[in-house]
Amino acid sequence: MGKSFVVGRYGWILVLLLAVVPAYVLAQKQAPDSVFSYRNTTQGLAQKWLKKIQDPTQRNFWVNGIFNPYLINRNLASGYADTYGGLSSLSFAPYPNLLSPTVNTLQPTLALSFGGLITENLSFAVDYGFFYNYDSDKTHRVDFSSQNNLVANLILTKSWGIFDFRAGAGVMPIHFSSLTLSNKYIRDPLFDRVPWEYHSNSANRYSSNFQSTGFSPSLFNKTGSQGFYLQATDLPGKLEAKVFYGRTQLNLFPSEALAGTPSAIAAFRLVKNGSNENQMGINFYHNSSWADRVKSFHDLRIVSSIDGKWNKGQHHVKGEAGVARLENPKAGKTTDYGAWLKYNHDSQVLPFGIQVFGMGKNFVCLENEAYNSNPLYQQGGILSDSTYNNFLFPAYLNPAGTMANNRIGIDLLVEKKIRNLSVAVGHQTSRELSASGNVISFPHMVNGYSRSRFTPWQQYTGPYGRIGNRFRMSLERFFLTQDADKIKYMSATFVDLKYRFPTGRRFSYLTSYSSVGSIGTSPLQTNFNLESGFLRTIFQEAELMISVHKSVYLVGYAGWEWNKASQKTQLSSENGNPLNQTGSGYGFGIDFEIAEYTGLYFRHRWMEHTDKSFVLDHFKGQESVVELKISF
Amino acid sequence: MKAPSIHILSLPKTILAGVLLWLVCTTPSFSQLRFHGLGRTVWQSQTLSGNALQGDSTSDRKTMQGYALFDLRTEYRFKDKINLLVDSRVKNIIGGFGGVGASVQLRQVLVEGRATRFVTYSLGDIDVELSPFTFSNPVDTGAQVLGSVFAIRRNVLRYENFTTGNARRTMERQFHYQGNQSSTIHDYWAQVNSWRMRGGKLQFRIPLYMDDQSLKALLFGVTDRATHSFSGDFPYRIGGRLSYSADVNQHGFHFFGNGVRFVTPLTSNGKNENRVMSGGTNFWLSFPKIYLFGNMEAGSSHSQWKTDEPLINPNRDDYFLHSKLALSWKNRISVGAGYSEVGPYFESPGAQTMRLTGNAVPSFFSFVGNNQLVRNQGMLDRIGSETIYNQSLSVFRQVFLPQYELVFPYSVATPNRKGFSLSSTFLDQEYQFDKIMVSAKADFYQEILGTGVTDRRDFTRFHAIGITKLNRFFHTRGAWKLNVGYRFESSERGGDLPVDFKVNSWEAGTTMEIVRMLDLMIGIKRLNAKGNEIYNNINRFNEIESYRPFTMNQTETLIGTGLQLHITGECFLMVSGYFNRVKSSERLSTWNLNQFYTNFTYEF
Repeated sequence: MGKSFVVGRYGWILVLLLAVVPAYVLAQKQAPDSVFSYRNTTQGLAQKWLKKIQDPTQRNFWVNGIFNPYLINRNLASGYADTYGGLSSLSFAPYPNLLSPTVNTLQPTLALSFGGLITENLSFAVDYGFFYNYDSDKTHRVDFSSQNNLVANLILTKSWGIFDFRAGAGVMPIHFSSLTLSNKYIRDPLFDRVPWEYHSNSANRYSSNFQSTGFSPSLFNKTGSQGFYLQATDLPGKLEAKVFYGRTQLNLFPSEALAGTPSAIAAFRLVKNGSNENQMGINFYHNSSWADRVKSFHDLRIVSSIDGKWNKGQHHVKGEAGVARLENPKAGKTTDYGAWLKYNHDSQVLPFGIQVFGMGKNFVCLENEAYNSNPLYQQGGILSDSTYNNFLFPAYLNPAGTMANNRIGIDLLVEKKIRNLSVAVGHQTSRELSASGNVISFPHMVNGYSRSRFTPWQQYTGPYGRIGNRFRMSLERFFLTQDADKIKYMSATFVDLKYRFPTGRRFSYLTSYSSVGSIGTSPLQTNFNLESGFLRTIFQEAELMISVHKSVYLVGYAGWEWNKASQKTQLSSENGNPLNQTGSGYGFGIDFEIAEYTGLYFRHRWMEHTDKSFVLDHFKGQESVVELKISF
Repeated sequence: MKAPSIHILSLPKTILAGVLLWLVCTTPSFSQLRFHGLGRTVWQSQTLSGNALQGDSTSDRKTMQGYALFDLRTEYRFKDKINLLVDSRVKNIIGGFGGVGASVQLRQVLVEGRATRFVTYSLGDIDVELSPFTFSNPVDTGAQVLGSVFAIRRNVLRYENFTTGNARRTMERQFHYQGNQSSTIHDYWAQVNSWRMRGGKLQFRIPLYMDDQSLKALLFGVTDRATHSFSGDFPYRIGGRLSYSADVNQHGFHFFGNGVRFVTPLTSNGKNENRVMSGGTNFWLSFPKIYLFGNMEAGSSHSQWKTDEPLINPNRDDYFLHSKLALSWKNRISVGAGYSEVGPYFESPGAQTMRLTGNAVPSFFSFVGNNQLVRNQGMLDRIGSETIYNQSLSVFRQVFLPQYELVFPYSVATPNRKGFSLSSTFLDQEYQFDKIMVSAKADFYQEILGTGVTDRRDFTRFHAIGITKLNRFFHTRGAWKLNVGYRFESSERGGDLPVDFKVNSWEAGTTMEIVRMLDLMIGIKRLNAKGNEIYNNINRFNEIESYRPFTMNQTETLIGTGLQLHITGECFLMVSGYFNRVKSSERLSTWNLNQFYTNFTYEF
């Protein structure tokens, strides 16, 4: 690839620019009242038309969009040998584009939404996402790749007063219920700016975070889908309905999906609304895949559930119960059950919440909120390559407030806001319903987003093949050598402190997040005594966001994690010791609001990870991220 | 897997787009800038079973495809003198997320306008049509569909192949039968008969002394739409038409002459040069209750194959003639008769290229026999498979499927035919039907020269359609339409190499508005093809080299049922199922194909 390639591929852009620029200049030079003046040219009148159509009072067509390029510069003094792009790399997107075109970068560089009114009650929107990615291996300077991708999503909204209909092949986010179509919770530090950050400026973002509760569900509790979606609100009898037919990105591995392998989801939700926002719903999820087009291996998942919420005064109860029927060549035909129940009390003195949940090991719906620990059901169908199965969490040390299958558990959350201080404390104790085997897993809480870029989407990476990278997180799995046949107990506790203080006319924020987790073979082990168990993790993170100007925030970050396993786990061949990791991350950044809806964001992070036992598991280096975001 | 990418614009389109952009930016006092568009999301899943998969462990049994696309047409009209059309498309394949499988495409670009008072021009992607023997996209009789459940599928393909409008440039969702421009007799057999080409045309209209007379001329120079490279040899077609017409008190005549020249490079060095000339006349006499229409055309073709081998440069000349007379009473009952003769060596690529290619690979379940054998086409493929429509004109005699196109596989310009036709149409009201319409055609033809023997084949074709609005009879609140059709074709020959092949096909379809905006559609098509025939194996010069006898006993059934929700006049959601059963004596040609299909379309 060289100049001729660039010219050949992008020469058309040059031709258009060559036509536009002199045309524009020529038009500008004419006298204002001349028929050839800019105001009277097609371009000038088109500008007027654009302003008119963007005026809400005269809107027939509209154009919205976000321009969001990234520059990520990574320099690792030492790291994993399989790191994509090498230890030093430059990338123009949150996730480097692998050589395989079947894996995408997720974050559009330019997202456009073009919409209009077909009739008074009928509007449409078309979303275009332009993904531009350019990676280089600065060490070798040979791995250049660039790719332009588009996403097309067609949305039609028909306002008969009740119907909202969408059909698209881009990505349509949808949500039905926690046990059917939703999404997993991933905690994102404020320091990391995530894709699809929807806040228009940093002040709103930090303020929104301060207002949120400790049991924050995933901001993105919707699953990406393709197909047909119909939602009807305000139906007679205070009913609401949703119907979906299509696919999610978890139906099949992308190359199989594009090849036409049959795999589709049919889902519906019917809700009855009552007073005080009380609600009862019925959900049905049917995912029928053919794992092998020829031999007819049926990979079937059906989940039916009922859910409801009830509010009275300070008491709020939510819950859902369902049954899952599953079938595939490896698992056979199974039926299992799952449920969760949450009670929140809005006490003036001490608001608290309690959640209990229970879910069989064969209660599997990869799109729901529960972490799946059952390897017999995987992303892409049972015969897909497990290297890219991002949705297997074997005996996972999940955060408090979240759920997993093959578990029963209880959560307790206490949260209190005292003026400018918000305190949330949460704890979950859970246990497996049946012994899952000799693999356990836990997330790397510090540097998770940066780590996930080392080998995106792939499992079994790193020097010992233990690291699995998913979207915005990195998970580590390792083996047990004793008591693997015993039921495992998990415990997770967090303390989330947020303090807001004024600086000038705005608020600044100081946050601290601490968590402790453990996995063992009894509640006592997990909660109080590590050494008889398997694993203990400790994580501490502090973030500071200072408003120094109405347009500028300075941000700072510090995070540490300690992960230590017991002698009952796999031991290092180097020194015979179990896993003993420390990780740290320090960073600073600037949020510069250049104009309304335009921001420039800089982050620099120093990161390090060491395992005293497994000595090859080590990386150290820095990462800089520059992001420009323009919303229009 | 092929990497998704933005399609690179071809150089001419890039230059044209740049010129257009210049014009848009600098042209003062524009008259009108409009945006139109179409959005469509399609999802289909299908299963294949039957003897065609016997012993097959690798060919697909179940597949699924879908896409979402958005076409945006920008129309710019400058003072009613220049009309610019730019159609751009974004298309996303269902299956890849976040951009994988997505593409952007400049679908069509057109500049048309009035150079002077008498001259109009068109540049870019244009439609070209002359006469059925010189330049015309042939009627697709084998897949003549009447039921809405089938028509919607076929209309998607017609939209994709730009056969949705001739004089008009709108993105029509439904094809509306349009009358012959030279006749007030509604021709319910008419389909859009133009070829979408790439190039330019000039049209002249020279006013004469009398307002009711006109002299018109058309000149065009085009290449095939599938042509992407203009370096080196590429196929081009030039031609034109000169016509004179006069109409006095609704009586009139129209003289015309057509000429077209094809130059087509061959893959093996060389090229084919073909020239077709014709002349003819139409006349009409209109009385209070009687309307008489006549048409005559005659012409010749000259085809020369030029190769690097000096002794192998065959060339052929031949002729054709065609005449038709039709009589209409109160525009309700019409009868017609015609005679046609096309020489055995008559070659006219612009008229003889098939609309649907018989040996095209279907877009779903392409292969059977352990992925070694192309699956034979069925009726569902012919209304739902994008790969079957022809994108380029062909100088070679294409493979045809006798069960779908037996008598005139290459349109009325099929060589080596002579015979006469009869037709009649009945409407229950003048100019349109209120309750019922019936139309029938019969063709009795014979070969001019025997192929391989001195005996000649006799061809018979009979085709009838009936449309009735049942809601008029049963006084239902909602619309209710019933369509029926029947087709019979036969080919017979006695003597040393007898041939006896018959095709019986019938179809019925109904569309009923069960509640407001919601239609129930049911359709069925059934075909039986039986007998023995002989394929002509054609060499690279369209010469018959050998013969391959075959025997066929095929029964095919296609059932379709669905619901269509008319959200607005321009927007609908359709959910349907199709069941295609083919039972054939040919090897690996018996299969069952079931398909679930959803289509959401809106226009603006």
